[in-house]
Amino acid sequence: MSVDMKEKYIRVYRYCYLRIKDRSLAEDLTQETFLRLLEHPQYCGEQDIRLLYTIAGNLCRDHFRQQAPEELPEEVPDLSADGERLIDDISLHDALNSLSQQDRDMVLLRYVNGEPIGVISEITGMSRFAVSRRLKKVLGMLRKELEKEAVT
Amino acid sequence: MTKKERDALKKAFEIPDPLQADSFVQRKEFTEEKESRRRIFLFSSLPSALRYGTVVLAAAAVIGVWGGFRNWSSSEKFRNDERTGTTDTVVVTSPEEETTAAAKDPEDSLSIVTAVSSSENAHVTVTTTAAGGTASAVTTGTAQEVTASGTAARQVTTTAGPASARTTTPVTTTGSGRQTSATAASTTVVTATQTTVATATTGVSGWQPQTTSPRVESDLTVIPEVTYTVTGEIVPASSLGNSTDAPGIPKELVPSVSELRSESDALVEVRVDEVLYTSENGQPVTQENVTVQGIFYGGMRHGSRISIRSNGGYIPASEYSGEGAGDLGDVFIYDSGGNKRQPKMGDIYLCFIREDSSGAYWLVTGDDMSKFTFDVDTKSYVNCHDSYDTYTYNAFIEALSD
Repeated sequence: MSVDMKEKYIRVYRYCYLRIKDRSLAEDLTQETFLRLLEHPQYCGEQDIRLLYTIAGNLCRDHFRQQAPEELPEEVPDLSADGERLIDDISLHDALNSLSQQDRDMVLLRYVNGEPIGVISEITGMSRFAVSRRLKKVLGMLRKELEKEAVT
Repeated sequence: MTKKERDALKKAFEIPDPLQADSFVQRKEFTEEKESRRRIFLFSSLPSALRYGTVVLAAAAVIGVWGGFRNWSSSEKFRNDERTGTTDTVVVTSPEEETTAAAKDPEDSLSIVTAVSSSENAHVTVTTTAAGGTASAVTTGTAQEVTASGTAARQVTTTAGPASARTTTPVTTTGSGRQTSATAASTTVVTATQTTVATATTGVSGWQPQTTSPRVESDLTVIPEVTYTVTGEIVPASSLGNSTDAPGIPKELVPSVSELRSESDALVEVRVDEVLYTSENGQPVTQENVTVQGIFYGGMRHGSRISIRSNGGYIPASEYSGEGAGDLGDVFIYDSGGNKRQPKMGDIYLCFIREDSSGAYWLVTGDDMSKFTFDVDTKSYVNCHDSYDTYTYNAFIEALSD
């Protein structure tokens, strides 16, 4: 049970982190997601991953709504501090950042979390064919970026 | 997408691993809550005794419902539903001596199946899954000779052993508008452990018997004012010159079937359960308490018991009104009353009867000219009084229609 639940925990955490970009906050929201699931009327002992993603998405939106506007810092943070980041992934990272939030979510869910097309279509509210076409298009774009990087 | 590409994507997202995953999934809320939620569906929150008791009760209810349905489906009422075809099966098993099983020839269009065994310990079973026609099972001679006959009967079972012969009564049903078709004819001699099965598909045509009535077990027999137990010396009335027996009666004096019908209230097939001797006005009268097995017409019910009276029987000489009996002393006088043979228990016959004021029925002629038995050899109805007055089934039905 715990192995299966841990796997779901990690997937939901990734989903939250992708939006929040804060590890501790993403973990808080992930745990809150599971606790909310316990009180959900559809909960019957199994953690339905679709329900978890939906709750997590709603919690993330609630978080942004409640967040007070912050002023940008005067000093630009030194990204080289964590310069151990793989240089090969920079272009791919940029390519991912250039995607819309929905496309990033779909890429994460499909290729990182390994969710089936049906689950993604239910979470995003799109048809299975639309999700499939969208993913294919995004994946082609990302591959081009990777090929460019390889050539240079 | 290749695994390498997946790993590259995972790195590009730059998502750090969670720190509290292990500790969170071990929280009690998930394990306990999960089990409690399941209890709703498995009824595991109930005490175990109550839980298992409920399961047992549910199983008993299912079995009870199923058993009730089977009883209902095999009940008489259910089986009396109209069915178009009839199938007779005869099984004759004889351990020692030869046994004969026969089914009626097709061209006679007679719905009859017969099985005859002359061996000891023979078991004769005639089973018919028909809804129409009449049925009979006859045990004749000694217990070693068994004759069972069924005419589109529902079930006839005759068992003969060294000491007894028992016949279970078939339920007789009659219907209308059936087509006649006898398709099986078989005469087989079997020995030792061989078994012969003859199957006939039969039907009824011609005269239309009345519709089926439900089988009832009502007892409509009457108790005579006096009954005699025959003991001691028996003096035939013929020796006194008072016999009403009329052997060799001319054929033209024998009433026809249509005449018998016009004089009667009912034509029924009965099995004799009890024979009583009584008297009326100093004349011997025999009362047979019988069970109705088949109804051709008349307001009868299958399975009901009635009393049929006829002339003749035994009477003490002191009560006999005829001449020449006054000084005979303590003896019984036997007067045939015109009957060829005395009735006995187990007899099965058709009879034309008429009800009297006492509730008993009388043979319309007062003697056995109103009775017909079924002859398995000729497969015809034979008048009990005059053996030359015989009818095949169809002829009998046609005579009724005249």
